[in-house]
Amino acid sequence: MRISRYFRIYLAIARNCLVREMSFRGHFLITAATETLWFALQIIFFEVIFMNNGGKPIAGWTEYEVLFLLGTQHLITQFFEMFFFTNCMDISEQVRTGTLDFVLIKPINPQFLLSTRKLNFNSVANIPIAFAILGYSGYKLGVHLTFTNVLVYIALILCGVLILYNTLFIMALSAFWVIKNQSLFELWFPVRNFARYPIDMYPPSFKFALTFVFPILAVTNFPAMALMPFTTEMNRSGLVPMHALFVAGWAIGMLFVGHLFFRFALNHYRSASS
Amino acid sequence: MSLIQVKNLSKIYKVYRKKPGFLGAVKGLFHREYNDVRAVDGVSFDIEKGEMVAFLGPNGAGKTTTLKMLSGLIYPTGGTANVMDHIPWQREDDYRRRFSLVMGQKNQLWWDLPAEESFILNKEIYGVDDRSYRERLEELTELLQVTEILSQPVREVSLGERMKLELIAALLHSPEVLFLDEPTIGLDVIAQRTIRECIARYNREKDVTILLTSHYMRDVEELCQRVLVINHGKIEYDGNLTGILEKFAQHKLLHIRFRNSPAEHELKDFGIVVKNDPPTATIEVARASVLDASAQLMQKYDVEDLSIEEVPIEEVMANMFETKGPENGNP
Amino acid sequence: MTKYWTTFKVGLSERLVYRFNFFAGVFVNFLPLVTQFFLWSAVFATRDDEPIAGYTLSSMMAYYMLIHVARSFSSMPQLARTTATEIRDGELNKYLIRPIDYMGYTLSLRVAHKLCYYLMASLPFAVVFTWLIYSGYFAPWPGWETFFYFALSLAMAFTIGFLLHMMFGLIGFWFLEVNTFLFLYFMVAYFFSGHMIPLDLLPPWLKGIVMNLPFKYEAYFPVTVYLGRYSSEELMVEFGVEALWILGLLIIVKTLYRRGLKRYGAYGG
Repeated sequence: MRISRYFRIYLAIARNCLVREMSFRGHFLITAATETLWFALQIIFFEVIFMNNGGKPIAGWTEYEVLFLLGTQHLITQFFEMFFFTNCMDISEQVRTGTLDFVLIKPINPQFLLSTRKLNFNSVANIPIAFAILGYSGYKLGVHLTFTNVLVYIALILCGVLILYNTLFIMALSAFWVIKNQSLFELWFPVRNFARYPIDMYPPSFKFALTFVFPILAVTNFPAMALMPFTTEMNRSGLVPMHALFVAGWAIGMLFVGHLFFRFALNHYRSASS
Repeated sequence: MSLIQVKNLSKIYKVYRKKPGFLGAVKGLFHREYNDVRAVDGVSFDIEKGEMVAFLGPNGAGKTTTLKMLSGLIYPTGGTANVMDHIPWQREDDYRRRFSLVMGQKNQLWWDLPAEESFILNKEIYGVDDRSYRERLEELTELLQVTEILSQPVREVSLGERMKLELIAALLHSPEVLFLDEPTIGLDVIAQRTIRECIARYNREKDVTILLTSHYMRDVEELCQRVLVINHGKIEYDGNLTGILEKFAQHKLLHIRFRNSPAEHELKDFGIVVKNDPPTATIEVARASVLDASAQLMQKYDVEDLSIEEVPIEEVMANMFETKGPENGNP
Repeated sequence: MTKYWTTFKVGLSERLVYRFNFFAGVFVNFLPLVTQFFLWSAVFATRDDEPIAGYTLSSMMAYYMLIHVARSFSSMPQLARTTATEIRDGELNKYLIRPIDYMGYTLSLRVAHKLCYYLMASLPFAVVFTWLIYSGYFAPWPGWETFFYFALSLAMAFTIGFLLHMMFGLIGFWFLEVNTFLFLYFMVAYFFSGHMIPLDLLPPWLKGIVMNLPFKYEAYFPVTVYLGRYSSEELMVEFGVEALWILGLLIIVKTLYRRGLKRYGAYGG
């Protein structure tokens, strides 16, 4: 009963956002185009390297495997930006202008309202593009889709989005203590930066730290690895069920931590503000 | 039992003291000094169901802070409060469903969308059923005369109309208690009047308990029987408006129109000459002696018209707030 | 002149107030270098350390490190956006009624911000740099003459960056939403300035185009000067062309400003 109520609320929000986006058509197109351009730049980056290196693999990842990884990354980024990115960034603005108060007086979980306030339909245009790249590189790799590995792929993508959300959310909560939060935007890019590259590029210590201590590398690499055909002769890592489960556990755990942090931040807001 | 009970409520918070100049800024990077600010200092009052009470006071007096504590937005530093049998800062869902907060100049409505869309979202959040929603919406839009602008994006609507829409958004779920923080601030005279009428009518018809803060006298005069004057975090007066005058206004004003205006120094015998614009003059006379002074003036001079008025409340308030100097921690 | 000095000092204090942002910003710039290091190590490992387009692993790392230095000179966070916002919100008025030149004012502010950044960042930078040079992961010290040219190119990079950002900000006189233009510019600059990858690695047809654009002076040029990739004649030519670009951009910016002000006045802000 409670879930259906939140779902209906979410639908109302989504409707509002869609109506709003429709009235800003030009903006919609250009933002979608810039996202695509950014994606293209990343592909160009790797293509230039491969071109200069005679097509030799990077840390065991071949050209199409890297492309598949980039496609996965684009997909996750677009989903993340669609649902959560702007809302996390807006938190500092809401704290600053005091509109957070309106969220707090409503009989609804404030974290829910803050995190889902806006749905960014810009990203919708880029999702087919991500799928196109995935399709193309997947075909070249001979990716074999089964029910299980597609399910695992989707699940790991979901975990990736959740991990990104919680990470940015916790970082955004710093707005409750520090007034000007624009550097959050800059801080976020290195976080994404790590997630962008093939996992095997990193030395073992990094690989371990960034997969098990804080799974930022797992966000994009694991889903890609789930679908990419793998043999033990290959010079790169393959996905082990144990690892995948571990990451899923992390994603759920982060949800709890994120929420705890939020309550802590709210406590501070409610004690320190006037 | 009173609907709202507040006992000894306090809110003290720390403010970072910035040292001026470049060297001060560098020092500020590594070490900070704090001051204690007593925003609300032991405030107590009780409000019955259906009352409409105004919090009056200058900026920074503690009005908004008190309101925010009663809305559950801020934890108090001390004291207790009880609204409709709930402790506000526990923020129970049940409590939040039963009250509303409107803040002047702060919007909860979506900026780029017609107000209607925001109303629907609120409807879902508060769990208002379709029929009640439609009835209430119709009732309120008619009352406030905003039917035409419902489908316009909120950003295109004037400030006064935006305030009306905010009010509607706050009333759609039939709250029993309404907190209004400076609801008429920044509005033109007509908009102010419409908002006040709506609030007054709502209070009468629905028996809604309303607590509003303002630094406009007009709001108070038109709406509230009861006034709480708050200054420097403390309540300095709790009663009705006329009581303030009797307690704090030492003088009354005599407006006179002469057929033959006397010289100014002669007028000074009766009191302080506020205005001397022959043939009219205004004299400030001590409250107790106003009747005598009138009689004497009429005897001595050729008076065409004479009236006795209260000193404007704004002035009384301004004087009230001036007499008490800064106390705790304010530089 | 003193008013510019005061502006400078105010800009400095302003930056210091937001100390969290400050320290975070300095730290953030180091992280991408880490990933670049791992990436290129992996690439060079497959070619037995044979150089790519004239870069070895150490000169490649030097390139990326120096790109950061150069970019810190030519990137003006928020300059274009602030300018555009000030135009849009009519805040330009407060400059127009005062006896101060808007351009000069903004320049003083920018210089203040940059200096602050360097003061704060120079220590960790210096530490890392010295360690890198000694560990052999970096290109060798190029000599004082080259370093002088490097410093000169950095100053010019600052100027070009300032002018380009100003130009985009001034478009705010004609367009309400400058942000999308800006974003496109940032991405183009990111690529064409050599920030993303050394321009020498680009296929010849693309390289030819990019080399004729002013973006390379924002980052690629100073870095390659330091790395000693130009002969004396080539250096003079490059500096000459860059000076022409600066002149051209200055004219464009001044014209935009003048024309824009006329338009601005017409609408009253």
